[in-house]
Amino acid sequence: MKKHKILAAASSGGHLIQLLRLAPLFQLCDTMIVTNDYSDQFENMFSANFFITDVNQNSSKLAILYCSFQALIIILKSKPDIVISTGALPGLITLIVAKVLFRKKTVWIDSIANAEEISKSGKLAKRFSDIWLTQWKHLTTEDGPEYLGSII
Amino acid sequence: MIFVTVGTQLPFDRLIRFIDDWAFKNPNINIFAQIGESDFVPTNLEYKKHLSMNEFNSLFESSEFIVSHAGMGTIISALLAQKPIVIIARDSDLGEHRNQHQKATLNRFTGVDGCITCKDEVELDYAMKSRKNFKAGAANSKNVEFSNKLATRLNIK
Repeated sequence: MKKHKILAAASSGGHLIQLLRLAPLFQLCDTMIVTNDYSDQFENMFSANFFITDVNQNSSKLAILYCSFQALIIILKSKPDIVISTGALPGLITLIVAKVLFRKKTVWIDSIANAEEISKSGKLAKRFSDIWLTQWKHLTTEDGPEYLGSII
Repeated sequence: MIFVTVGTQLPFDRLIRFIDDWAFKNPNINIFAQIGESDFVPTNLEYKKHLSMNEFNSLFESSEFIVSHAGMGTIISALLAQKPIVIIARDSDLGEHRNQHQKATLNRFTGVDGCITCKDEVELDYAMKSRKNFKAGAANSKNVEFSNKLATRLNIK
């Protein structure tokens, strides 16, 4: 049996494509995915997939609350050791719920799209992340984020 | 086949209208467009508002090249699939986005192998004319090194 359980979270599109690039890491673990999309590739990569509603900063408080509730249920069901997200807001919400309510290990990887500054979600993710990463070396500071290279 | 995509969130009538005109002038070329929330309805090509990831991937795979808004998702997909991609940015002055970050994205990918960046419809028209010369970028395996480093940080062996 694989030792670590990872819950990987990302919204469809660029965030999800970047997350799926972590396949070499996911293969070492029992990895599950949470997203608002579905692809046949999930079957080979993940032991389970969970649906979460897509929300963004313009969504209603009710929608964001509902998304948080979904994240809570998903974490209760999946029981991960580590939560990794590349964004966007639903990923951040999943990460916050995992950290605040369950003290899980959390990793935020800010999207490569954010080359000028860390995304809004990324800035919020800082205090809830054990490992807080940018994919751009010039965005690193002493207080983070860290740079481990880029996924793309 | 040429695959055109404008993302899911916002309309991009300027691009869809251009492609529809171009399709009218080039009736022998097969084009499929994902038009999202665009108001303009094309009449000279096949289109769909939204695509599932499966549909998107299969159109992507079977296309010769991609024409896209400057959305990171599509650009990354094209680079990873080693498909040439013609990119035109949404312009917030024309109400096509909330801010000008797509122009920044466009500039960032100018000169990158496999990316053909266009400032406007004139450059787009020129790019479409020179489509026989498009070349895809090289394969990228940065994700392997990144995954290994992250695994080490997480004490995963």
